[in-house]
Amino acid sequence: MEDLGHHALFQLLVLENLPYAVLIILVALVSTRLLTRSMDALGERFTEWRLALKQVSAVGRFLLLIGASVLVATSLLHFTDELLLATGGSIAVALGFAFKDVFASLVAGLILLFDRPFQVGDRITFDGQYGEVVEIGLRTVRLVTLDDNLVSVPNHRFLNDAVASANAGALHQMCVWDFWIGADQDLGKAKEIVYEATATSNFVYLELPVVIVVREGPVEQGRDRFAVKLSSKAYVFDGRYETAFGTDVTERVRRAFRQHGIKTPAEIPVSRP
Amino acid sequence: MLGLVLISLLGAPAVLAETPAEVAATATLEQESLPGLEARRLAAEARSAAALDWFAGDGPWRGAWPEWSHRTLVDPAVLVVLGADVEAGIAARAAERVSPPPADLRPQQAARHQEALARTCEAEDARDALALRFLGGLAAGLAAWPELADDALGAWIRSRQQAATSARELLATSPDDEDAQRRVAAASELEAAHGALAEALIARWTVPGSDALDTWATTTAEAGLDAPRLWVPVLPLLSEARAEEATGLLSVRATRELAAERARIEARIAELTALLAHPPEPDTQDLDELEARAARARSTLELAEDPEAATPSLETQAARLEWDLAEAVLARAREQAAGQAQSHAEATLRADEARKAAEDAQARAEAAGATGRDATLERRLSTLRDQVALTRSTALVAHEQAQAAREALSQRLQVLRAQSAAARALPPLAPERPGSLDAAYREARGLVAAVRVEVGNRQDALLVWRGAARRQRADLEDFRAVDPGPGLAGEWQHGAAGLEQALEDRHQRELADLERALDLLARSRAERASLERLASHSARDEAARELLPELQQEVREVPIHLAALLRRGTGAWGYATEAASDLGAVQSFLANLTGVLVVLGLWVLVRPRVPRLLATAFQEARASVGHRVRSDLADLVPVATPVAVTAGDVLVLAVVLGALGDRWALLRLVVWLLLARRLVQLAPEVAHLAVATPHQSRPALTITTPEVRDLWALTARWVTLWLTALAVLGVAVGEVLQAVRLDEVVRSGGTLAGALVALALLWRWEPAIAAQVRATPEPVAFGAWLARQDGGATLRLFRGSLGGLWLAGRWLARLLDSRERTSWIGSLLARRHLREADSEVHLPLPATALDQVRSAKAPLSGREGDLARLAEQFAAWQSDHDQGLVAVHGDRGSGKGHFLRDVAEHLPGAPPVRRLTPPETHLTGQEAVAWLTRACGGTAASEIRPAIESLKVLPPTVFLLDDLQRLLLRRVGGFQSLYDVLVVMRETGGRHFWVVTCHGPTWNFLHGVRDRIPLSVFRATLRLEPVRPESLCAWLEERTRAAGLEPSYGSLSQAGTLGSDPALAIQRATVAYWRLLADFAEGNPEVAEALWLESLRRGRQPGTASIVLPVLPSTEQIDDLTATDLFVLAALITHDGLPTQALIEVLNLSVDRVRSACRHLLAEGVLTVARAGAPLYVKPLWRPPIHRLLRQKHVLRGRI
Repeated sequence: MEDLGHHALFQLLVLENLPYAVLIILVALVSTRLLTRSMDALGERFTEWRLALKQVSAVGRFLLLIGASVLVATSLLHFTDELLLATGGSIAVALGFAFKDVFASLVAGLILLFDRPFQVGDRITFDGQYGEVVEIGLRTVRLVTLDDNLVSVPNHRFLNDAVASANAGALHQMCVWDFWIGADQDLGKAKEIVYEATATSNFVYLELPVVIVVREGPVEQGRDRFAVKLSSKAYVFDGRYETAFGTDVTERVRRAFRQHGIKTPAEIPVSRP
Repeated sequence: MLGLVLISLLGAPAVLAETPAEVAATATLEQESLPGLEARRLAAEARSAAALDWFAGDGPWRGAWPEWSHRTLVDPAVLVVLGADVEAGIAARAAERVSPPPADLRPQQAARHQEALARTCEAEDARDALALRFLGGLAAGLAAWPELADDALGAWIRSRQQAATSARELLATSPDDEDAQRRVAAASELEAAHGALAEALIARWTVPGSDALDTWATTTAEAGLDAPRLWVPVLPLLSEARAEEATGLLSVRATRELAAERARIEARIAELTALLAHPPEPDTQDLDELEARAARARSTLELAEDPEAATPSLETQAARLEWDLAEAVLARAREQAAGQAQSHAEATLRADEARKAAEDAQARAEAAGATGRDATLERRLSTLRDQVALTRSTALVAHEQAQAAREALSQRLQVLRAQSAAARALPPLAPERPGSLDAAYREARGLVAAVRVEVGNRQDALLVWRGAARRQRADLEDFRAVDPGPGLAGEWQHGAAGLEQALEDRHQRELADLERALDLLARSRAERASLERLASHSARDEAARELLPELQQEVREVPIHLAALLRRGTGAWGYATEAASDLGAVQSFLANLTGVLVVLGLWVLVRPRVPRLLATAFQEARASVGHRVRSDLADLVPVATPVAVTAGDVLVLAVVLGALGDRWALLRLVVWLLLARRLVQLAPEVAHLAVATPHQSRPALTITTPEVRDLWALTARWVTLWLTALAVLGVAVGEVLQAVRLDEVVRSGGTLAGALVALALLWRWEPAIAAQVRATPEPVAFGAWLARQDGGATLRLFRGSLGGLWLAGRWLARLLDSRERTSWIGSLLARRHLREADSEVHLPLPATALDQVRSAKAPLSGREGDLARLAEQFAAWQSDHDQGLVAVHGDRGSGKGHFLRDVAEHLPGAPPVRRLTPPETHLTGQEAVAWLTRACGGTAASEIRPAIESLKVLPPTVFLLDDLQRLLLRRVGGFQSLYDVLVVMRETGGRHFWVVTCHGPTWNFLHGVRDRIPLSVFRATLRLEPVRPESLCAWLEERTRAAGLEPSYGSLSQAGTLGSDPALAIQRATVAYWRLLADFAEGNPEVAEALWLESLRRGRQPGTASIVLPVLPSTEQIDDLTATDLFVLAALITHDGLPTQALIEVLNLSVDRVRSACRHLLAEGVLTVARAGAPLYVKPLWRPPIHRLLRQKHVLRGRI
């Protein structure tokens, strides 16, 4: 059996193709790097196509790496019928067990690329993490959170758990900003202010409407106060500016509230009997 | 010594005398019981020792349990029995242990017996415990691997032995038979291997660490035994190394068997192919079995077929051939059965009956003798019956001949199909494939010719028979006219009826033979058509040489097919009467009929009311569209009514056509003709509707002239007529008459007719095309040639066709230009004609000359359409005095101010006009209202209600409010002034007419915040369209000439490089220059003016200015702008310029960031400012690229 193993090994490896395989790997790596950079550059230049170009980049990189792997395997390894029969089953089982998760992630990556529950550039929420998808790789999906942390999630996990995409392939995405005022404050003026603050922001995407939703109830985590919540629902023109949008709207609203004497629940003294 | 003896005697105990019984018992004990027990003990110990040896792997198990040597220990049932035996022995020994000693034994003897018994029992218990361990191991092994038990593996081995029994018997008589020897040897080897396997399994399951199974595997593998049934159950029990070896052995065998299976299938395919060429004679008695066989073959094929496989597998090919063969045999059997049923059974019987009746009549006549009239009548009756017999027998002979001929042709068709299938199955690149296909095609042609001869024969036979039948019917009438008297009346009638029936049967038989021949002809033609597509050119050329004879043949066959069609039509009526008793058929018929009747009924009710319904529908539509264009839709009713009526007719006819089944071919043809007629009527009406102008009195909407509309209608009518005629003829000739060659001729004729129709239409279109070409603004020599109307008819047609193409090209170019995303194509094409300026040769004009051009005045044309639309709105307002607000928006520099200036002249009968412009600084709501009232001439009021009252007392006025965007500041609270002013204008819109101009980007922004700013107050919105290049050219050239400079475009042209006409090259360059200028400026006059000034250079001669390509802003400068830069630019463009302080408020950014961004943009030359603190503006030349950039990045809203 040992002899057979050695024999099989020498039959299996075609060492004279090694330089060719190294060349393929180098070309593949350089190509993926070039593809990524060129697509990113184009995406920055043609902003409205940015997400589509990122998707092209992700798919292209994926295909390039898989293609290179197949080329390397077929050039370095020489499979004969006998070898396949003698070693195929056991090798397959061994590799299957050893790389089970890797294969699962690889297949899941393919599914993510073509089923597209989200794509590169989307802002997604998964397992408590919220951030922008910067890469759908062979093994993992990488997110950059709002705190600039890079989070890697194995691809196959996205097949089983729920994932929420805020913009679903579009550049713009909806943002909701909440403001509270005291129950006795001028609601009409406050609503007008929140609308105008949102609609005049530099970051708003006005192709879609700005909506103000009003709710009344106890302040969240707030003792025993009753207040009015105004939720501004608007789209930011580029998901990258989500936090800047929130900051801008909040500043405008706070300033206008002060100017018009509209008080938030925290500014109203609690009167107790 | 003696003393010692005495002492011992004295000291010895007293010896008691034994009884005879005790003596006997003692003897039995000593001689029988104790030795017996000892022997049992020794035997048990020996067995135990042997068993322990076995368990230690030293000895055979038969040494321990020799009594089981001949038992099958790999059988669970046997193990149960053996275990029960051992258990029974243990139970018996337990009883033996406690049994009393034999009677009459003295106590010492009894004790000895019990002691020996106990030792024996213990030894035997130990032996049985080992036996139970042995059996337990086996039972556990079999429970884990039941497939190795005797009833599974053993049964298979026995079946193999039984299979070899015949070989053994054969060897008894033929000892040299090698095959039998091999089979017997294989069976023996298998049996021996199985026996060895059983031994190895016993060791594997009972001896710890036994490698007997591996040894067995090695030995068996070396012996070359590779039966999977033997190996597969054993594999899990083998060591890893042996298992791999065994897997390899099995793989080799599997590969060998696969190869054998492949060879078998290939042989089967070859066999089936041969059978298809010569199908076996079917058993016509067992049609059911043949049908079942065909169904089985079909289901096998469906199971074998893999729809995703690129090429069919061998199994699929074999299954397909099996199915083809089954179908062929079945078809043949059906045909034969049909023929036999009619010919032999029925016809022979009837002919015999007739002959016998004739003989009887003859006998009676002879018996009656020559006794006058009776004998004569009897002879005549006899003659009639002879005639019946003769008719039936000749019918039978003719039918059998026809059937034989048909069978021969049918068999030939089967052979052809097999040949065709074999040729098609060849690989596409196989060298013999074209030859095989050609041979099959030639055979198909020969077959069609042969079948055609048979059809002709059948038709001739039918015609001949009809002549004969007419004569016989005349005789029959004479016969019936004779009164035979009461004696012969019955037979007389019976004889006449018999002849009538015989004639009818013969007629039906001839028709059936003809129908079958036609059916065979259709099948042969279908086969030929399918092969014709695959045949080579040479083979098709051969066929083409026989086109004329075949065509003649097809023409001769037309009456035959028509007659068949008529027969089928009458047959459909017969079917309907027959189906009247079939409840399902009646139900289906009634359902169809009800559907058709409902549709017909509805249409009969609706048809006269169509005009009224359309008028009502358009009225409702008008209400939803709005009241701006009141008469448009109503004017369409007279044009749309005939379309709706004819379309309804077409729909109803289509429903009727769909309801008619295939049996009603004639009726379908009639409905088809009606449908085609209505379609021909519908087409011009639809064309007329499509190009209709709703209101002839509105020049702005007059797109087509009545002449062009009539031409469209004519074209639609003739094209539809041609298409429907082609379709109907194609159906009639190709499908009804099945005349393939005639169909080809009809198609060719149709193409020719189409060409003639096209020429005729072109002749009618040619004057209109020439007029349109003449009306094109760009002077091109080719266009001038196209517009000429001299020359003969051929030249004019040629010019007309070229002119049509030219106009289509221009229309396409305009379409591309009109689209934002495709206009670059036009620019790119135009750019090819232009040459870059040579800065050393072309010196700039002095600033004074440029200022003169800038300050020169000239009218800008191209706004007439916008002014007309405004006038229309004003006229409508004058009639209703409601909502008198109109918004006009356009980009900076698009001419809004000039537009307002021209408004007064274009509002006929307008009240006084007053122009208002808001201050540059942003106002609060109250300040804005106060300004408005003051500017309008009313009493100053800062609140809305008093302001409205103040304006309402003023006389009716047309207020022209310029620069509405100044009332907006994009920050919280910055909407109020605009909102308040709009409210005041809305409330006074019944008394005054407001025309408001607004900066385009501001208007786009306001659309995004519609919930805050009520844009719905405006009655209409006019967007100032981009000015056309021709208007820009005229406007700027005139201003340049007014400044004393004559523009010269020679520097732009590439004349001479290819030796072309210099004047024409300059003409092209001029057109291309203005095309590019208008494209870059996006039709904006201010940007165009800036570009024009950039293009002006000092001319070679005094008083001239050379035009060169302007230096455009480099977009690379704005590629790397920061977000703050972009926001600053967006704010400036939205507000049409802002001072820095307002910019800071709008952007909500820090002062430093905003100032820094402004400085950067000023340094880049993108912004301009008149003085410190004055509003910042984007320079005109930068506006188009900045607009595009901001829109691309979604910072600025797109145009609405």
